[in-house]
Amino acid sequence: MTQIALVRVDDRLIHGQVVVKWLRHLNCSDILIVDDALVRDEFMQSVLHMAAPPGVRVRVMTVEDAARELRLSHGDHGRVLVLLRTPERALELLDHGVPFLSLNVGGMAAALGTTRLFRSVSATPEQVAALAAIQRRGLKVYLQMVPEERPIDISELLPAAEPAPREGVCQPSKS
Amino acid sequence: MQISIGQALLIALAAYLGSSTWFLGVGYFTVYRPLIGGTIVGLILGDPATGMKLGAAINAIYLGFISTGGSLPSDLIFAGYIGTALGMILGLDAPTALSLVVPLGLLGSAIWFSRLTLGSLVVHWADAFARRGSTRGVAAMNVWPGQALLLLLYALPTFVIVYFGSGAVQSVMALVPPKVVEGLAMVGGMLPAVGIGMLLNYLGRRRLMPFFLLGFLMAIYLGLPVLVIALFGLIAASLHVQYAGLTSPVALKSEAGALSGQMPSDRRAVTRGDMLGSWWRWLVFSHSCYNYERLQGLGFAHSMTPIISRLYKTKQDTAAALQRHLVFFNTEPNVGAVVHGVTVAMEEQRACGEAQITDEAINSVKTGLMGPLAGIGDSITQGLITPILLALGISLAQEGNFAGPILYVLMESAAIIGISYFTWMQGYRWGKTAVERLLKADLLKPLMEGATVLGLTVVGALAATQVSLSTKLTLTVGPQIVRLQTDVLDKVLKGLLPFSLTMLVWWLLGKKRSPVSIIVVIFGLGLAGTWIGWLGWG
Repeated sequence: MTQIALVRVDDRLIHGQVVVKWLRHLNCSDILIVDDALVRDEFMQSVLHMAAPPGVRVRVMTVEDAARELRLSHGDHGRVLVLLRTPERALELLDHGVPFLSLNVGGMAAALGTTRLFRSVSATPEQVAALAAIQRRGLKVYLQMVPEERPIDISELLPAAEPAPREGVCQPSKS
Repeated sequence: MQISIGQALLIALAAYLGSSTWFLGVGYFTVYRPLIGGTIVGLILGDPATGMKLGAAINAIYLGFISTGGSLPSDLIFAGYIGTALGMILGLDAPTALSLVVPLGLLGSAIWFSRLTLGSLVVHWADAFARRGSTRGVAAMNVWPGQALLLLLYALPTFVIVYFGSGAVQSVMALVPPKVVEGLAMVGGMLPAVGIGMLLNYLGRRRLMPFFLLGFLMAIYLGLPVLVIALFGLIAASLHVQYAGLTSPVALKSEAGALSGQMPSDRRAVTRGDMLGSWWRWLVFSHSCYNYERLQGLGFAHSMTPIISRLYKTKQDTAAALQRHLVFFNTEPNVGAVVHGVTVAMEEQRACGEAQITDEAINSVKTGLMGPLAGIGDSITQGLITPILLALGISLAQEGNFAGPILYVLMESAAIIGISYFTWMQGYRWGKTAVERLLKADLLKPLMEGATVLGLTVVGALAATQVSLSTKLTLTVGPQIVRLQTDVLDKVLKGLLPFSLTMLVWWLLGKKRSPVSIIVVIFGLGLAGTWIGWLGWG
């Protein structure tokens, strides 16, 4: 059975924190990126394959394919690190019956219409709703950039983030 | 030693320069490191040799230091500059000073977080300038507020601690029982095992560990100078790469062939001067206003100002371009400079009227490439080049040789500036296929494997000279008193205890123990062990 080592929301996907810190920490050599748009982008796929460290397998799949892959048992496979650009994908994976118990939120860049939750994690109202929904389903949702940092539970940040964001908002959209 | 107010001010200024990352464009890789910081503090206090040795010892703890994406495990300015200054003023020996440095480093990382948080305010001022189409305003926002912030956050506390703190530390040290001082010295000898263990956790694939042992044994039993060990490491690396079948010239040729002939259009509006100006701004100011909200976003916009001024003549176009590049950006700044080259090429095509280059296209190339290049870039610059050269520099400095810091700065700067310039120009020349050319050319993987072999050999030698641990236990066998350290352990394998400690740290890190918890354990072991008389130099 494919074992899920970590499900991580990180809009930069494979980058320094993932390559230098998480892969070693999790002792994991299999990355599954779930992103429908990337499946169609051959250039970015080849860059992602080449950027991975030696011996690490990278696959890019649509939500449906990834869910099938993660639900089915495969005798030969080890632990897999699942990377998502945005928390909505995690919700979709849950809807497709993928079993995982916690969601790591690594990096979500500030952009137009986002609210800052913590340090370099910002979210749109839709993303905040998705994070809250995931938490309501009983998953542990936590912010942690790198393994040596203390994880911060999302519930410490969500209620405060919705009514009055701290400084660091591009275009406050408190709809 | 007494410190004058002028010396304290100079050290504070040096700490600011060290923290600024802009210094000569390679600040983060040179003056930020305790090896260099210690030497500078030594120069200011009139004893460069002691400062260099102390800085080198401190740097050994932070050999495995890698900062990625705005996360920082410990602050090297506090550890290196303040640590060396306090150590020298109080006349502490290196091991005792080391036990003082670790808390300083942790304290400093709180400062780093304030810096990134406060920097988030500045990008909004830059946004206002961008809306008005002011390239000068955006550049000024990237350069100046960050410097004021660093003076406030680093220079000020450095001055206060160095000038006023030494007395306080001295009176505290006077109260500490001698047994505990002895224990702290023992802890200081053990601490470099953490730095080396952290680096092993990153570099040390099990199959390559014999090279670590090789370096360790060459240093302990042959007593070879570290440069000679490094040359042996280079030979080992070259043999390993050749015989492991990692180089395949055939594949190299065919792939290069498949990629050629995709040069982007040769309409060139950007001059060579613009390119150099843009590259230089990035090299020097990429982290000038590093902040949580956009990380290197403002640095990116600043680096694009010469290009934007050349390509766009109206206020609206300039404003739009500045705003386009003020978004979140973060990559490894040197290998990742290929992204800038690609972006310049795309901006140029866009300004020359190529319809398919939309804002969306430029953005998606930037955001798509920055992550993967950060991954591979951090592995190369922070994970391989820096620790290998540092291990070399630290060992030389410990031998009392000023070539240690000097050679380190020269080689590291050449490597970093060379990589940055090369990838930037490649990106501009080839457009986004440059990324495939850089990564695919089957040169990268054997080079990285070879560098790992060389690194492990040098780090093995460093472990032999930096980590110290020894027992005072004796056994009474009949009429004879047997000293466990000199009569038993040293006859089995010299350096067995330091080696085992380093392996233990590596193993604990592999078991996901955090470096801080391991440091706490080392403090406990060292202090308790010395207190009950198990540890010590007999």
